[in-house]
Amino acid sequence: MGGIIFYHRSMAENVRLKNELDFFKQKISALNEIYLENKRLKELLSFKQKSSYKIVAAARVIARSADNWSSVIIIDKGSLQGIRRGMIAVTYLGLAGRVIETTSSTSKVMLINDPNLGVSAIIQRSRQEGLVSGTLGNFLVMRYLSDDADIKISDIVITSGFSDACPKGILVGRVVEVGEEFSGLSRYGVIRPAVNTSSIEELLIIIP
Amino acid sequence: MKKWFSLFVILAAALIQATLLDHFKIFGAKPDLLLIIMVTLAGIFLFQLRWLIILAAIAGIFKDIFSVNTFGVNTLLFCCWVVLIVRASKKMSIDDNLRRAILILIIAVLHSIATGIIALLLGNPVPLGIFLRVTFFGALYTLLITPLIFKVLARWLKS
Repeated sequence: MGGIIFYHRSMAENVRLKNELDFFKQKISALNEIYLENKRLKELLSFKQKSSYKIVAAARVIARSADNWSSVIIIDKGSLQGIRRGMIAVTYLGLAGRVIETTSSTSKVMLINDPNLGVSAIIQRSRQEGLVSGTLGNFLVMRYLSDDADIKISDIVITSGFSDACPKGILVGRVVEVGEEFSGLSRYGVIRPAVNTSSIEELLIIIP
Repeated sequence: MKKWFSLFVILAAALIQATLLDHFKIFGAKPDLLLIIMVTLAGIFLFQLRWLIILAAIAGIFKDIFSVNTFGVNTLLFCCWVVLIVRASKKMSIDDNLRRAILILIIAVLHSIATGIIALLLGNPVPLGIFLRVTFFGALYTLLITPLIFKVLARWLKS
């Protein structure tokens, strides 16, 4: 009899402890998520304080493009928060994209890996200028480099600021491959973007 | 009831397409869940054409909202595919898995080509290399994920 009661108590305790364990696992996961968000936001805040750019708003990513033909994200801030078409989106790691459309409370940001977004950029070491555009993949291409362009693997690429569309000095990425165009008249560089476009969660919108 | 349930499935697919699916890209391409659902509903579950067009338009609008293309491209194309599939299903049987797979593959490739041509005509051309890569891997990925979606849809719609 005692054995049965002992077994029953142990079983009830086991169920209770398992439930508690599930609860704490969920709690740890939630806390971990908060910790990671806190870390990202701290980095973003630090970037905001250090940078000299005119920051309009900080925004969260709420959706991504549904098709395969563009690399676009939708953010939770719009014209009511002062965001306008043509403004630049950055993260603390570097250039993320450009605002292409706004509604009162949301905006569409075309990411740097979209082929329809071209950014004038320079190699930081040699000041060689080129045009960076996306490939809808994990890499960018820097085109229109002259055939004797001074470009090497691991060179850092930053925005040139030669046009009004984008301020100077924002980090774009790092050169991982250098090649020659089919025509043989110019060279190109394959760039790994500083910002991982598939994992952007928060952005700063700045005035170009 | 099935029509409302289909509407719910389309809404859920649109949300997944615009959020989670971006993390599962292969060579810059992701499967087109909305296209699979529309082809499946049109080719296999055979609703009335009127309802299919309404469902296709809703699916297309959802896709257009989350895309950069000119609004209406996907809405128009989805409606066209549905009409085409219903007409084709009256002339030939698409009951076996192989024919369904071929149908999905053809529609996925045609959808990519049509989208590419419309983008070209509207002055937003996609470079040929990227177009071929995305069309090939997008259609293949869509084809590979189809049996899973079909099984889930079949179980839900039959229950």
